[in-house]
Amino acid sequence: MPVADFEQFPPALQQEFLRLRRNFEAGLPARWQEIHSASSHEKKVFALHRLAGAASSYGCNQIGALAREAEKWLKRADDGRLGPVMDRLAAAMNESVASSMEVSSASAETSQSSNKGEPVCVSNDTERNSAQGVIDGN
Amino acid sequence: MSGLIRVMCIEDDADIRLILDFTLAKLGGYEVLCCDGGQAGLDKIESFRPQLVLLDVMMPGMTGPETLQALRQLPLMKGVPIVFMTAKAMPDEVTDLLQYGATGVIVKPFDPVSLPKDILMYWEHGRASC
Repeated sequence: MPVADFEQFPPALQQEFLRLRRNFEAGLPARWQEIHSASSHEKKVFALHRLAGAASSYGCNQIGALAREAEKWLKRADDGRLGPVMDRLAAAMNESVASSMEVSSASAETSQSSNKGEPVCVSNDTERNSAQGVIDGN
Repeated sequence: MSGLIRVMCIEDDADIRLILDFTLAKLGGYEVLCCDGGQAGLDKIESFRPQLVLLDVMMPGMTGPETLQALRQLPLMKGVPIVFMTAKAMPDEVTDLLQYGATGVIVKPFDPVSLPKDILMYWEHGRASC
């Protein structure tokens, strides 16, 4: 479902859908960790499969398509094709996380610092990444 | 009025359960029970008495097909449409899934706007098959 199609919902439900979508986007770092900390090939495939299905259901079509492509290359054990796709997936997920943080900050009307206007950082610090909602493409 | 009121969704992914509940309950007006796995669904059949079940295929532990086979053993589930949800969209893959005895297959990603009406088709088909 293209992002714009949420407008097909009755107006009263559009905001609720967007709230659900923001909630999903805020959970993307945890999904990334799930993929990267998977203890087996099968579990990694499953994590990508779940991400693909969930993302597309919320209209995050780019993330859904990239996750599905990554799942395909992972199943075929094609690391050459998998790597670049995972990098693009990380970038797409970072963009969604940043977007959801901007909206949340605006809604809360707080003055606390956020990623608004700043590029999402890439770091090898896994724990800090999880806390700040950033995804490392490595 | 179709008569379809109670829909059970068996789906392991929490985010998908949320969107299913939103689209079927808020948009479709159904009474919805979402379960996070096959066994959880089986445990709730008697108390909820679904008139239609949406069942994810790829789940940890009890898979969709295994859950369907277990559901079909229950007298309460006689004639109740059970519809798979899957990302597998190739015709032969859909045919394989139907051979488990599912009423139909909904391909993911589903359209949240049309899903409430789409399941009515399976509800009517299920009633016609009784």
